Amino acid sequence: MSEMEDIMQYIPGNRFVHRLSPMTKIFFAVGMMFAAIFTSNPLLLGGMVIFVLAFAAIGGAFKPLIRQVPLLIILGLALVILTVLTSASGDVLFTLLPNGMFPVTTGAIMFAVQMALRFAVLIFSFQLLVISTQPRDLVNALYTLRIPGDYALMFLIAIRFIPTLQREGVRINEAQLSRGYFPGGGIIGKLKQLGPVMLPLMLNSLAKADTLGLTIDMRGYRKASEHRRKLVYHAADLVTILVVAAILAGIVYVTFIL
Amino acid sequence: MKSRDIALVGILLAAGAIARYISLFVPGAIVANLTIAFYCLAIILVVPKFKEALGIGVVAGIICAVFSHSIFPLGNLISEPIGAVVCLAVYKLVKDHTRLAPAISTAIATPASGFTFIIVTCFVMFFTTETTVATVVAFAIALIPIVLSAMLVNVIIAQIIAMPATSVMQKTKTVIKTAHTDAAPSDSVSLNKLTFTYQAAETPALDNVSLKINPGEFVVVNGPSGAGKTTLARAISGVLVHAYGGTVVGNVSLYGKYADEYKDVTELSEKVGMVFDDADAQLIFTTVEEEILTGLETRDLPEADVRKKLDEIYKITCTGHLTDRAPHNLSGGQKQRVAMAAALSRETPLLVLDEATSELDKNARRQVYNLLKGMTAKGHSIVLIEHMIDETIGYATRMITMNEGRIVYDGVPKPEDTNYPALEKTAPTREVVLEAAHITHKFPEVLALDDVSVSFYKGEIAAILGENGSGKTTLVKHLNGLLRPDAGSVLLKGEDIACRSIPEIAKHVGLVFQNPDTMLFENTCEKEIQFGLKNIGRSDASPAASLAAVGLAGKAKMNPRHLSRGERQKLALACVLATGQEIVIMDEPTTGLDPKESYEIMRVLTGMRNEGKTILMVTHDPVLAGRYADRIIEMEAGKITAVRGGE
Repeated sequence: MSEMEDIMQYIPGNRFVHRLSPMTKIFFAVGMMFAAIFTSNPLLLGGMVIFVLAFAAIGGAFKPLIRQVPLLIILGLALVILTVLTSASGDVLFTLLPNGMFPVTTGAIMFAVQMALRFAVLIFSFQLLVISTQPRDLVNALYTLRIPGDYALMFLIAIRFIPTLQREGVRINEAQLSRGYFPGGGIIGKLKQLGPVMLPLMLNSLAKADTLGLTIDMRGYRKASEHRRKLVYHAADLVTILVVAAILAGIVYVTFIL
Repeated sequence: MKSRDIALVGILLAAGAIARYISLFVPGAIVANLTIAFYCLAIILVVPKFKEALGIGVVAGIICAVFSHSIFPLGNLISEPIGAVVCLAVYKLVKDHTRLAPAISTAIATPASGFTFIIVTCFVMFFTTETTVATVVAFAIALIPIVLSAMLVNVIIAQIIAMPATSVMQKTKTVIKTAHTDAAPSDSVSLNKLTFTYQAAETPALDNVSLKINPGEFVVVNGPSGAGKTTLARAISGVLVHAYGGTVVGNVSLYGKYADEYKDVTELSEKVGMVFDDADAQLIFTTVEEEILTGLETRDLPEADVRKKLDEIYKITCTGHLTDRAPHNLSGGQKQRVAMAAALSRETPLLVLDEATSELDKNARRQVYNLLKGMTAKGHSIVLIEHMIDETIGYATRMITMNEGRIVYDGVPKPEDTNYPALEKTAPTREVVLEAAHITHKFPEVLALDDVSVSFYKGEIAAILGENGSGKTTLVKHLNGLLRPDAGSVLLKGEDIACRSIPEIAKHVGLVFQNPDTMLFENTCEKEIQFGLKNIGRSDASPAASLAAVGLAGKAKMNPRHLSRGERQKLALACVLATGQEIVIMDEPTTGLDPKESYEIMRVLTGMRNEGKTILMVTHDPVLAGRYADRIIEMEAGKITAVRGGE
């Protein structure tokens, strides 16, 4: 537990993807999301997964994305089970139970594959945005998108406290283990930790809100949104935007016009 | 919204993102969104306007979409705002009728958000794949159990946390009872016959305090815990009448204006800078540079000046090498430096520091005092709250001692008389009870322990002394099994603990972490002790004796959160006293305590030692170690560099 990896954090780097403007990366993620929604062709979706991974690989952010694969496999399996249990269309391949219950059909498998590939595109492209963008640039992008300053500040504090809470949670868990506490594993174990771990974690953190609030006021941070820095765009930004736009246009053409 | 409420919502959304991430590993949890419990909690604690609830929902949606592996980010941007608004509406309806209001509003908000998400997802699915209506409907129906189980978990989370959180977060208003005197307010800082009583408190925290602070003065304030030092700091800086609930009698004025004539804390902040003891709560941005730079930028200086001043602040606070670091990658001392640097960036005529150097080592503290002294030469006034004042003599020009809300000394700085009777000790033994043999532990980037061997004896106090990062905490975590060595072994009474679980080891080795708040969670002191007893299977034992042993006999039914820091530390000690382990490890047992409280903790520990227990004390304070330990084990860079005493 004590060596648990930081979740959902910016990973410093200085390659191509890192240097793109945050707005470009948001456009990339949102553009790929729509492209993935507009088509259900497994070949096109598979192509998009490869494109996102290749894009990440050029930018030196391939490894952290690959680490998401176990999660995707869990999601994919859950989807297969769900669809197998709920839908029957196309030819029956085999049945889960020997008496003919729960037939596994080609339609269900097809559906699960489509959904899993679609989720892979979505999760990879948003993950790429998070790991390659400094939180401050993300907040700057929010200002540019005209999100009011107060809510951008809220977002900033949330990102800032994710790793802090994570560390504090590990520490509290260790403190309770040291008192001989053993909640057991699984979902029940997690629920049992609510009192001894979650409660002190939340109360200690909430007790910080007073000082945090005062600090925000005393350093004039409520006005921070009026001082947003100008976003800089380079040639690479233009190329990326054009490529994503082309993919999106291509998908729209294939799905709606052909 | 108040800044405090923004901070509160931000923290809860961070917790929500983590909960969501953890829950993703439950197969099928694709729509079971635990984030909902946390933004519902935020809404329950803040009770915002509907428009603000919508905004909170949008931010929660963005966080879900971007940070937590949403399968359909667009869905979150629609479903979370709906969940937030539903939660607020339900909460407003039921909050005055039942104590279960948090559970009820979460119970309704979770399916509201969950089903919105499902509907949006299915809608998109239907129009973009060649599936039939029947398939989509079946898919949606299959998700219902997941939404319902998420609802159950969310309800439990919201209800368990909301009740105690409401008492921590109580919203209060300040009542000002005295009219301003006719005389023009003083043009420096002055308190005039000020009495302040916190809401729900019986005795005033400040009792008829009068005081004037002139430009260029360096004032150090000391006194025992609970004497009113922090309240005095808040009063001097003027924030007391703006941000804390209670009753004010008398006047506070700063630079030609009464404190309550300042529009808000932001206006006050042009005159006053404050640094608090909790450094973590003073870092808002995700990098050090951003923290200091934003403070400068909001002062509307020309751009060239901003850069120049930034470099100057880096230099005087020794933070220049930390620019791109995130707060969670800083040590406690570094965090305090950055918090101070950010406060300095405002260049206010008055700077108030409340225990703001507690985690710095001696040299770093001296540097800070020098820096502050330099500022007074330029006409700034400094007020420094410290419970160890000896080091400030030579820097401060004036000392104020507080006791029970009153000023009992106001004059030239003088050393404290810390004459506590020596503690009697029985003769030490050489019977080894715990032994580390050649243990090595490697973290990804650093060799934390490098072939460390050390033995601990029955009936001794052994101090493990070292700076931050020397490996002392890593060492003690091996002694109770929280960490396992990469090489070497830990022997408990001659037996290797490699195959024994932590709860099993915890029956013999107790570990109390530096901050008592990392372990206290029950709502009475008694229950807190019973928790430990239950864990080791002795739920029949009574907590009374151990509470009495640490001097908390009368407080068995009190909420640990209403105790002072020193009392909470004593309660943590009572917990290991009750469970009766033969070996007790205390990590920094006296941090944040005044000399009297430190002495009392050490008195109890010495008593335990005399009964034949082994006490391990981890500390960076050589004075404390020298005064109370039988043996001092010095550590540096993962190695034991010296063992003194015990021959």
